[in-house]
Amino acid sequence: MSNLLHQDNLFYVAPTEPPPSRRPPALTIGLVGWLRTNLFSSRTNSVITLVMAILLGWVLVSVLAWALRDAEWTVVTANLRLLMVGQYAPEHLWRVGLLALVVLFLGGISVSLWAKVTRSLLLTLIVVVLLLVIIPVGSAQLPPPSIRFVVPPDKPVAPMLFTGDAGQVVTIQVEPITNAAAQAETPVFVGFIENTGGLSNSRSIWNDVKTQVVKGALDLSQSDLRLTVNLVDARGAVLGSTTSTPETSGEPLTVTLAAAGWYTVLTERDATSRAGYAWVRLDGVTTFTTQMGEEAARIEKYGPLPTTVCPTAADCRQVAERDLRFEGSRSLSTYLTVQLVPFFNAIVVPFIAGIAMAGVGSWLGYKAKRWNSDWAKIVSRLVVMAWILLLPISWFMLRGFTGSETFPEIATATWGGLLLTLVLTAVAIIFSFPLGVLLALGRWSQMGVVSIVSSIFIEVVRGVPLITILFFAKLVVPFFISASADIDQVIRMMIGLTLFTAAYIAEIVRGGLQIVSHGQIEAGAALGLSSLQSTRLIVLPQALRAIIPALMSQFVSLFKDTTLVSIVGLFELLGIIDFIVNGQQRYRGLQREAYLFVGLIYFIISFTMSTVSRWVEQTGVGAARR
Amino acid sequence: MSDGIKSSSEVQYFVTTADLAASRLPNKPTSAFRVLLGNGTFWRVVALVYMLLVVLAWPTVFTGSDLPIAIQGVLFSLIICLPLAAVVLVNALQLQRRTRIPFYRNVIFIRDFIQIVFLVVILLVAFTLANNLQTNLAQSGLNINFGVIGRNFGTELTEGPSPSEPLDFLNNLPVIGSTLATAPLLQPDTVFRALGTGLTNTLRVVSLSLIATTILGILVGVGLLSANWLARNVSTVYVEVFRNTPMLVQLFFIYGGVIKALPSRPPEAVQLPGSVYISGRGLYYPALIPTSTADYVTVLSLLGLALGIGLWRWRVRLNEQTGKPAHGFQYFAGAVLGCGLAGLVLAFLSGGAPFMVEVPQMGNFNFTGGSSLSAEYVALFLGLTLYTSAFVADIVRAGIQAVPKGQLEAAHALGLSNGQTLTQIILPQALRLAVPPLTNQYLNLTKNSSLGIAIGFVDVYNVATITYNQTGQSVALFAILMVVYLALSLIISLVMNLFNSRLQLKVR
Repeated sequence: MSNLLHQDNLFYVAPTEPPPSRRPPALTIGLVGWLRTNLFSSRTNSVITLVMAILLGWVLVSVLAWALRDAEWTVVTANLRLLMVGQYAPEHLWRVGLLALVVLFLGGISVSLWAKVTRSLLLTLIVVVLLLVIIPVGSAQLPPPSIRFVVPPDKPVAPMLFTGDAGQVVTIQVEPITNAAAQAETPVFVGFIENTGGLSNSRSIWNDVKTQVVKGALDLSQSDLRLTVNLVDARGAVLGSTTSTPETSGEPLTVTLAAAGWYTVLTERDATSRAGYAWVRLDGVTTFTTQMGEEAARIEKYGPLPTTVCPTAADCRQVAERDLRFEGSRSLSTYLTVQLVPFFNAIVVPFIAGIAMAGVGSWLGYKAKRWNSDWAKIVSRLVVMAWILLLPISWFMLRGFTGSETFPEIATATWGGLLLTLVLTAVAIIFSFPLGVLLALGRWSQMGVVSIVSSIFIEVVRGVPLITILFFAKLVVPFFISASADIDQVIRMMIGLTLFTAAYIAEIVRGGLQIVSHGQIEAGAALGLSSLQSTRLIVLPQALRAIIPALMSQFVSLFKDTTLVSIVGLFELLGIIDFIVNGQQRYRGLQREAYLFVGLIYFIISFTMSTVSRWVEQTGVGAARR
Repeated sequence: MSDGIKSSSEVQYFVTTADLAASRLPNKPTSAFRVLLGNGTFWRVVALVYMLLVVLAWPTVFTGSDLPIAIQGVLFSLIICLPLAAVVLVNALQLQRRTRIPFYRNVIFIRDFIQIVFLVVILLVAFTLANNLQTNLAQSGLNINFGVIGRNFGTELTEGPSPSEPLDFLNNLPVIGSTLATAPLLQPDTVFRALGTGLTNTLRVVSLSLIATTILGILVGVGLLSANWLARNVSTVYVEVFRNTPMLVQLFFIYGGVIKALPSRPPEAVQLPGSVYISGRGLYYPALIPTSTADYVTVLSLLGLALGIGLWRWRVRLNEQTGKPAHGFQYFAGAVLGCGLAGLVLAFLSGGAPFMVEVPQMGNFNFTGGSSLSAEYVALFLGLTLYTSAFVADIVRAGIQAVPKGQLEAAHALGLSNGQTLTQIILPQALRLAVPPLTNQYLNLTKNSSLGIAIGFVDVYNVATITYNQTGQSVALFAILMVVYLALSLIISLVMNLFNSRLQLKVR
């Protein structure tokens, strides 16, 4: 028997050596292999890949070209404060900053104190608040763009009129245009990132000069322009002057205005000079918009137009928004240095402060957790209390008190931007959640009247668009409350958003209630729990745990839905764009950039929130315990 | 004895052994509310009539009374609830006598009591609100007047069907021949007709967006699970971007940033192949204008459609019975095309082309001829479609992923191609799962169409706002708007539920 087993012709005996290993076919590995499996696995796939690649390439190239070359992001960088906090009084921005620091601190403690879900939620919160605290505080320090106009050789330059207040600092500088300047790639002279809205004569002169110099038709080294620029007040008294030669720019003239009134910049050529060009640059001057009635308002405030310098109105030109020049060039590096560096410089300090605050908080939380458990419990309770107290505190901190010195009341009508969006979202979340749970329990309950009333509310609210609810909150609610209680519009919108979200949350909670098996409730009853107790101790914990992901996506959609209050006339993050773009002439037509930026903010926040909710769903934290 | 215990599955009360021994349990202890609101029609009618009488009689009795409003409110709610409370109390006492459980420990009584309290509170709130409304209206000199819809509508609307046939929206679906932007401004004579025009516009944009959303959503949803790396990632980015930004931002960007940024004068308009132009004013495309012989084509096409559907069903049945390949769509398309062609031939034989193609002609300031869609319509259509299809795509993806993998493997084992597997095995099952969440998205799309007001699209909400500005009738207009949108939501839910019940597998 054993002999048979070892006969080789009857049985296969594995060779002692493994077969020589072979490389996989070259076409299935490496980049080629990857391409073949992922992009060109079949004929259809190859066609799809090619068509999509061409389309995608075209879209990307044109979008990038637009974003880097044609887009004028000044509408965003110059208006960041408006975008973030709206017209909230700039001198009281520290309240927003302080509040944000408190939130960051609490967030920091909570992150290291509590469990995973809370942790990721709070991290989201920290990101959002960092955005809110840093950008407005930082951008409030950004200097406004300067005003420039070209002095051509052949035409007289009209006196430039502007209004100034006492203590305002005005700087005037003359920059002669030389061959080198026209050809060099210096930011000032390469061509400005200018407002397209204003029709600027000096820009066309400048382009013309540059073309002529480059073509060799104009040699600016031959010019002998000598300019004297005087700052004159309304009575004709010269407050200061600066002169320039063809080669050297004059000393910058800095004047602190003594009184409010009209001032004039007089530009005069030296009698001997014949030709040459120069830029005159004004800093610290308030410009005119071309809105109706603005001149009349100025005359009322600063007195009549000065007749000593300009006998008739046609002799002078008022410094208008179209004279503003954003320095910079179409080349990317210059663009970055001129546009972005000052901005990042401005936000670095608040950014570090915010990070430090969160860091200190999380260090404290970490320490508290490592102390004995009693201390950890106390700290934990304190933090919970702080979070609960935060809502009323922040409301009063932002709103202030009537007649207070340090905290004067700031009308909610001036709130705007991301601040208003976040306030609306936070309030609606905080109030709609308990209301939604109550509505769901009401609908679920066996008490006919309660169930019917809750159902009607839920179904009616869910059946109509949010904008109808906001319409209701804006125009119908005032009829239903007593005339003496005048609720301001922000609060009315909060009510509308809360009622709307509560109905949706009620349906989500109902889904959660349905997954709790009836046996659990019966078991509770068998243990002698009252129906209130069994709801509180058995049903709700399981139901709420199961619906965390759905709740999160509802809150994301609430966050996005706050944009609708802009239709009803509030200046939240989306509504403020109309104010910025259409309210200021120099930003006309730049709504694309603004919408993209705002869209990006919405995207960052809601994408983080929905990623967290997906993560919660996948890790099963939200699943009911079985 | 056993009867009493059996019936206690939803009614909980405490039973002592003494009770059991004495067999004193009632046969069916019922709540007073169950009697009034539950199964007794007679008592329900009586209660409603009583409440109505109180509400109607209230103003006549109490107008000019000196009682403070708060006391009036309490009185009002108490009087309405009094009979209910009496019934509840009698019921509770009866229960106490029969079960010997103190009535305040009886769950039935506790529930009834809570409901009474709830009712009183609700009535009190309603009374206060109604009273405030009356005072405020009296102060502002307004009346709630639903007659506002018969009022003259003094504003011109920029788009919509012609005012002579305001509710005939079937002829105005944007498929063929609605010359909107080029039409003279509409001036509906009454608010009712203006609302009709607005509703028509809402339906025009919603109907087309629903179709486009479904198609795009399915395409992207399939793309999300594609084996092609590029397609998969492009779809993912698409879904994430459009889901995570507010629709209003997208709408503003499309309208203000893209369409309105196009040059508005015809010579500078962007020309697409086939005489289609896009300018800042809208989309212009060739119109098909029926001539006298068009009826041949229409009638024969309809016949072809009916024939095609019949053929399709026949082929499917044949396939189920014999296993022969169905080729249902081929038969359907053949029938429709064949009949359509026959109609065309007949039309040409009997006297010329059935349709005239009218190409939009460039004028200096506007296009003439052809059909057009306004810039607002195009923007709202694009906004609704792009936003909602991202959600639909995710629903389709979830549906596909829910199809068991074995199905896919079985299909491949049977030798079906990838396309066949997708269209015959996966999508039918996936869509079945996807219908309920899709219904939600369709409802959302319908409701989101009201955002058109932000870009000036003349929908029903916009007309209501215009009317509000003219009349100040916010309460009446709000009620009208609510009815309109609730009706729309209801219709869509009904249709989708019907579709859903047809689609679901019949499980025995």
